Amino acid sequence: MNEQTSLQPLAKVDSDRPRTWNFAAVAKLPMLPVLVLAFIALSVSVDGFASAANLANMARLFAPLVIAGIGMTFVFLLGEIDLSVGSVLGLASVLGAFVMRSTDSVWLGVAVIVTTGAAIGAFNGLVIARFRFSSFVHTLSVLVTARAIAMLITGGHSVGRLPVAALQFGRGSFLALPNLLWVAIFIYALAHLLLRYTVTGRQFFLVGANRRGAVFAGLAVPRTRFLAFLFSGTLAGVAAACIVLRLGSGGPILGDNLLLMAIASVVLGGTSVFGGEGGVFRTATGALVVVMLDKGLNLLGLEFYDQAIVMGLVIILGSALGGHLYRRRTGRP
Amino acid sequence: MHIPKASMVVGLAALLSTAMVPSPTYAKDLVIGVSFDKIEPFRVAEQKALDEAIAAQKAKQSFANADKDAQRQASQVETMVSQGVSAIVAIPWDIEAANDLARTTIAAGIPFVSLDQAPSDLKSVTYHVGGDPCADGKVAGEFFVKAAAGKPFKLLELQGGLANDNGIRRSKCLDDALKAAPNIAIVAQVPTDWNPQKALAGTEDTLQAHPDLAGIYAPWNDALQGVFSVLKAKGKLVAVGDPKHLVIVSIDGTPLGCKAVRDKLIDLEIATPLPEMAKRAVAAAVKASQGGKIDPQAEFLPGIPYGPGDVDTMASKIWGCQS
Repeated sequence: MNEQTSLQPLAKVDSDRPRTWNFAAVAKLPMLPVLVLAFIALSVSVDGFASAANLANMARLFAPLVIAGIGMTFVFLLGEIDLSVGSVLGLASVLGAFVMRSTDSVWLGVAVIVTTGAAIGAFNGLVIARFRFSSFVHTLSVLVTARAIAMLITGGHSVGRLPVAALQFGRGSFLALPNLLWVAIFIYALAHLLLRYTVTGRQFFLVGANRRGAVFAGLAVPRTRFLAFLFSGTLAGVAAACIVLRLGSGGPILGDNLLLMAIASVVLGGTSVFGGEGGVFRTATGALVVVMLDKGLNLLGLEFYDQAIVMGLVIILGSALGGHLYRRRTGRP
Repeated sequence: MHIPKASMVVGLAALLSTAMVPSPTYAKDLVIGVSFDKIEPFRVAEQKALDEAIAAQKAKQSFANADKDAQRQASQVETMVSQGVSAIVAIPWDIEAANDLARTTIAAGIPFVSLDQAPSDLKSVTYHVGGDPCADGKVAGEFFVKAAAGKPFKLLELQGGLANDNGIRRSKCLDDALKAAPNIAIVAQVPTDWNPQKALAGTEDTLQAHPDLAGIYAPWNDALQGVFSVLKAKGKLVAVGDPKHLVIVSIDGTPLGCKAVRDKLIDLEIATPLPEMAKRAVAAAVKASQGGKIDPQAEFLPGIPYGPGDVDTMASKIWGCQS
């Protein structure tokens, strides 16, 4: 419940933050009641939905999605977009899987995956912040290029036969929770602390709400934009590592679906596409809704087309509801 | 706040009512978990063939579509395992990830049968049955060599999904077969990711650059829609035997392909023996779930070539000609 609107002075934002549950708090998290009710409904109606095995299964699906979504949240907070996430994930997974397979070292492979994501994120940030390229156009070109490079390296094949330790971690658990969920919790905590308690974090809201005003206020706008894309790329790398460790393979098109799902998670959660409003808790609720619907509708035996229609409707209604509540609360047109 | 409250109530009620649809339970039934990599016309035909094969075995089915997402497919298969299905028949999206997915499924006591797309390590699955993309590509290549008859021949090669085993091998084995004929020049290789629109664009571009194009390789039937659109616009959509006709070879055996052969618009079609594949996959899944031994562990069924000259006599063997 620590999401904030940065149009207000920071001190006021703190004092205005709701300390107890009330409608205003719920209005900032439009997917939370949907999430709770959907969970109850699916638990009651679908055999085994709330079983430990299914929850662990959902957690492993949720982890990379929320990690990539958190990265995307930083970009959305500035009113920008990063379309390269899926391709970066694919390229990073391929390079890391090659290293894992050839060195038999899981952690060296993971380091390569995350470093690749960070490097491309830094490149995106540099071009967009320093040279003021449109984030949509630039990241679209990186999407195409990174995908092509990954295809070129692999000839289209995925890269598998990784060390057994990779799968042991990806499918293993610690203290009854899947290891990948622990990674997601750690990333979430870091992002939350950054946005909530640091000056750098708050600058994401201020720059996103009013970039021109932020420039006049002397805020480090280029640095903030750079960091947003750096975080997005790095977290795409972390998400890639999670998927590689779970599947035991990396592939050039591994992240194609994840891009849209990550965007859906951010928007559904209630982070504004115009910037200045949102946060990682919202993205987490959005990602949970996406995963829960994905699994729940499938377990209900709905046809694929029906599932897609329901998912689309939820995204439309959720984003419309979030937008409406946001406009009512802030008075923005 | 009446509007948002109302919106939320309506939305949640809809969600709740959807969620209240009773879910299937599989406690004592013979249930085959079917996991598809994607849904497209060919897969719909495969699904129908599997439905019939599963019904013939008096089994029930739990179906999931991964929608081109290896992670989602892994999750769906894990769900089927936790539901306690008797066996799994899967068309893997990621042929590397399928190895570990199959191993963990089999370790949980559930047979894992792969259909159509072979995992990279065939030993990882209980049984595999599929077409033979390499044999099909080779037959197509040999047909072009024969059609060119030693004369200069410009060929457009449309490629399927290059992240997909069928797409890669249908292309590679065509190319291997053409190496014996230096008179055949592949003037363009167009990756389409199985997308007919990309096939259309690739055909249009190639015909513009090479008006004397002599042949087109369309390694899946849906590509023919795009190819025919372009040829029609250029006045080249003419029957086999017409001097303006371009030699066209396609693979799959769908109703679209059969119609194209009957209309004499393509020279050769290589039909995947789909009903037979589905029957063998389900039979192996049922047998393995009952503790039976599966031998052989993998079977590759080559496609059935047919053309305008023999379509009437071959129709009974081609699944796409029967609908």
